[in-house]
Amino acid sequence: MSSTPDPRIPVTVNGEARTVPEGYPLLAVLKDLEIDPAEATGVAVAINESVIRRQDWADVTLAEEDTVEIIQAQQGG
Amino acid sequence: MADDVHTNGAVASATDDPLTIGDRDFSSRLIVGTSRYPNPQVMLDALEATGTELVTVAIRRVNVEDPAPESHLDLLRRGGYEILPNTAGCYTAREAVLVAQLAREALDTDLIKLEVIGDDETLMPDVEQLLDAAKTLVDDGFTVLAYANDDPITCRKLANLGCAAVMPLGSPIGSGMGLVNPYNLRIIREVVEDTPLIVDAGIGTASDAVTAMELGYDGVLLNTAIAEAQHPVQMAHAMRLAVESGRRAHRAGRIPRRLYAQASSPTEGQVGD
Repeated sequence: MSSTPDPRIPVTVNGEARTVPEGYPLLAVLKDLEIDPAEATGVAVAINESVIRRQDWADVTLAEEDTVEIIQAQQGG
Repeated sequence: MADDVHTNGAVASATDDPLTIGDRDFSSRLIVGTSRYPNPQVMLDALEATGTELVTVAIRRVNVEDPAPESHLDLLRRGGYEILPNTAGCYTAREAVLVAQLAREALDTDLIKLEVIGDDETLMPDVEQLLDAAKTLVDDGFTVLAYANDDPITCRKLANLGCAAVMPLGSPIGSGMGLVNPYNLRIIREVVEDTPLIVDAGIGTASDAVTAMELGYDGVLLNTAIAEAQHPVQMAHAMRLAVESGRRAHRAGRIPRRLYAQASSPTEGQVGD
């Protein structure tokens, strides 16, 4: 990561520590997880324990130390 | 229900006797989980055989290593089922509240099956955390169906907090042990009069579901008993009949138990008198 010229910031995505470029869009995080916001059903996002409404996804960028949770409905009892 | 027996017009159909949870009416009193079936087609066939209208799903992180897992949500929605997300796997009120809020956003529903467990050996609820989460979620406008211990005091507190249904366990989740403390379940029915009560967890076979309904419970929630039966679709149908049968028996009012026999044939005019 030291070779990249862009300043990178630490974040946590679904419990995993990652570094991303400053100002990394939430939509890019979703794309990394192969989630297409137009198609995905049963998906929701929280940053720092606050749910981000779907209509706001496009406006959100990550800040240093953000904790992102991206969940999906799955079979369960 | 098409298979209702109408002998004299006095037998109510299931649609005349709905299960009301919050502002929703369900003609089926069976709530069914969507996990552990041999394959998705068996799940769909089994759900159809139960006659259920409300099915549970779990909320899980999208796997960072293996993104875009196959979701069966679209299958369930195409089947016309209402979705009841759960907070399974949460150990604290804080986690459960966040998962409920994520579920509301993901599925556009205010329904939540609230589970806050104390450990993963027993999967028994952590009462302190459960009550805390229930209060927060009711205040936040959720329709809360709370999975609880078979403890009358906890169940009464959950009802008084405004939960839409209180769901004491029959026995530990997935154990198939049936109703291990029917006396507590009876007491819970007596102390929680006005809130729907549903036996959630521990049902092993059809007779367990009948007993729950005969005790005056409003419904049954189960998963493993069907999904892991040798023939899930047949067990699904058995559970449907069991819940309907138990409900009717409860409404019909059983005879009191007697220690000694009481002849059902006339005692007058017996040969040899």
